[in-house]
Amino acid sequence: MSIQDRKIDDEGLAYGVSKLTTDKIQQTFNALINNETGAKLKAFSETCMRCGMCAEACHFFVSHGNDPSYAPVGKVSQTMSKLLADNGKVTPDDIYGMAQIAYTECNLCRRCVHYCPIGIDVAYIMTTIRRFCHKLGVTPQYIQDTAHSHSATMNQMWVKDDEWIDSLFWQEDEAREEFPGLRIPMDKEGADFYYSVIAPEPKFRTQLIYQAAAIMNQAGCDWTMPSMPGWDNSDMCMYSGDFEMMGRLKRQHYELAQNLKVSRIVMGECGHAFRSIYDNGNRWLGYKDYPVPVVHSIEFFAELFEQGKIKLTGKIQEPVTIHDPCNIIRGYGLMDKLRYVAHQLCDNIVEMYPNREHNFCCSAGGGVINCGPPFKKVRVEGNLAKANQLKATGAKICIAPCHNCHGGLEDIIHHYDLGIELKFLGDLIYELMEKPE
Amino acid sequence: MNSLYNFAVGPLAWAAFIILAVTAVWRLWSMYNLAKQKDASSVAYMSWQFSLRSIVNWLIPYNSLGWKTNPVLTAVTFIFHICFVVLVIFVTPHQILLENAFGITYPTLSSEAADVLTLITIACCCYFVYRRVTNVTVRYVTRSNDWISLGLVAAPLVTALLGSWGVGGEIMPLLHVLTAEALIVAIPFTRLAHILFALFTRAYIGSEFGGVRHCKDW
Amino acid sequence: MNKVFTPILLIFAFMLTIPAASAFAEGMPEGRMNVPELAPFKYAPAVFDHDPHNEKAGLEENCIACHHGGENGKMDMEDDTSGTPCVECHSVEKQRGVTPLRRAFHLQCITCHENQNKGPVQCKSCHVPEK
Repeated sequence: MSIQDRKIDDEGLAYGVSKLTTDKIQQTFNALINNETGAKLKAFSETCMRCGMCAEACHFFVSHGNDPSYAPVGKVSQTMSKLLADNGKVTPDDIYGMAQIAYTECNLCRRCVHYCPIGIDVAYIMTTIRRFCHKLGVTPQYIQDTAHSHSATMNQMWVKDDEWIDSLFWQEDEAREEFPGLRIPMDKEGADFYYSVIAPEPKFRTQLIYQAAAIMNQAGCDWTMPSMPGWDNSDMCMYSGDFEMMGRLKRQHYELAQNLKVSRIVMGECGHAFRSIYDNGNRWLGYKDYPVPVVHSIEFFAELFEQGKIKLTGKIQEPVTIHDPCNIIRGYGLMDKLRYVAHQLCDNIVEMYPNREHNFCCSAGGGVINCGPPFKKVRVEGNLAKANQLKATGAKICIAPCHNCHGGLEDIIHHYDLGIELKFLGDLIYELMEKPE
Repeated sequence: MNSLYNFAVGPLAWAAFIILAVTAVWRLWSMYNLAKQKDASSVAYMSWQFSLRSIVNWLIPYNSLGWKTNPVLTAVTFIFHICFVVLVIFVTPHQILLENAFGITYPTLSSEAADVLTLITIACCCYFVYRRVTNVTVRYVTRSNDWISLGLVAAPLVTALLGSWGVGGEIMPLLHVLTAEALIVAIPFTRLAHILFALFTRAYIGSEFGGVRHCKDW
Repeated sequence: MNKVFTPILLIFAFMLTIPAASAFAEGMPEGRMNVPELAPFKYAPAVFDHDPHNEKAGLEENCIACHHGGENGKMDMEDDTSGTPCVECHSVEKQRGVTPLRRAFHLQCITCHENQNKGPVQCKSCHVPEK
């Protein structure tokens, strides 16, 4: 019933902790409290009545047989409360546990906000712990690798500049067999929008770029894709606690739109990247709103359907359920648009409950899946709740318009043997839309 | 004994209220300034509409996901807070003290009704104690300051009820006044500070969910 | 846990041993105030026997200490109003420049008792419930 009983070996955490002393921890903590946190953290830590109502909100708690050390308040109590009570004077070993909790046992999904009468934002507290661990140099190896990639290449997956351009050319080339006039216009100044993706798309899921190009082509969009760094909208630095780098990434992403003189950015089906645009990155840069309009794929597809720009040959008849990704639903309120698009594509939608802004997280988000294989078991076993939810719908297909959710749900579907097929909205649109003979 | 009582309801009571007023204002003011200085990127989204929307929706029993999931605690929490506030304002002795001191009059509870409400409120406190001990999650996160706050709240209630029953004679009103004054002074410095801050944290998260996240927070 | 509860329990156990009826030991007066204008009563009318009280308090010669006069909201401690019912000046309802009847009684009794450091402090020690 404590993080001390379930420590997992991780090279990054172990190396970081090996260089720590209690003095250094205390200095870093004081610097964090004095310089970076303010009234939010203070009010949250003082007003929490320790009522434990948040426990039921968390898939980790529910899935681990109601183990209190997985409850949101339990995680806060093992990390921030302990640090505040001891004035930052904790051992390097304690920091190992705190990092493991903050990086791998909380998805920052904010479901617990719906359970707290006082309105305490546990995700913010966990993010602050991650920031603290980042400053101490104690980060899980895998997520730190993506953060390193971000700072070296401005994308998450060590994709080199020429590889990126090659990938676009390659997909354009492939797609022209099916759609003869198709182009992926590169660096087209003054287009309506530029389309940004996360780096895992060129790296592992290149067909998504193919599909996007096909949809844009059929819908007759005036669009472009950038050749320059900034094309990757993902932001693992936001999750590793490297906020300086998060700011650089977002600035580049916004400014690319200005360089290309496009009127807006359309983002692929990703949740965390969107979060970094509307919630974290923009605030770090001091933007209350985006400097350039940014549109998520869900909104963009809804727009295409409303304007009748996509013609379908039919609809999916099998039972289909919808997974609501936290970063775009609880985070940005796109649940109605998501349903509008899903109902355009499927005749038989079975809702899973709880849904919409009350939906359970996929347990992969918040950078948890990016912490890699050492923590996979915790994440998958920590989401029996989601497996039960999925099973109860009896659906054969699940729509999940988010990359992280795909990764997380895929693992859950395999582990619990659910036999459900996962789809992006783009997958379904591409499958169903009218294509040239 | 009499002089002690006179001191407790006189100068000590004034001191308690003045300390509360000064420290509460100081705490709220310094928190506000800290928020402006350090949390500007959150303060920027504060909105009256979304704040009130969130507060109102959380004031409705069984409206939010949290209230629905914890039905007994919800009932006890609402009953406890309502009864406590009603008792503080509407028991006859409190009104008579206000009337004697400032000439303020308003309708009050009969002493039987006050006894019943006090009993109910004490029963709520007992439930809080029971839950702190038996609920595994709550026990896991309970520290001594949670017990102190609960004790501070329960003490004036228990002494009021015993006094009303005539137990302990003349010492009970004195204990009631002293424990109540301890409670008043402790508000800004214990978990009871939620009396000062909860509305603002609620308003903040309401504004976040309304203005940034475009969805409800209940 | 026990560290918190044991002392609390001990304190309450101790209180129960204090004679509950200490106030009654000195021989409570029989009579009660008779002011029907203040009805309905939340508490029983206060016990008060005029003559024994004044004898005990040494007020036999000093009627004006309670039966004062006054005008326009100012007390007149020279004007003996013995025999005039209090309610003639102190109206039951609030009025400009007049202390309402209930407040007048409370202030009259409590202020004097406080100054003398004597007498009961509980509501029900004066407003003894009627059997």
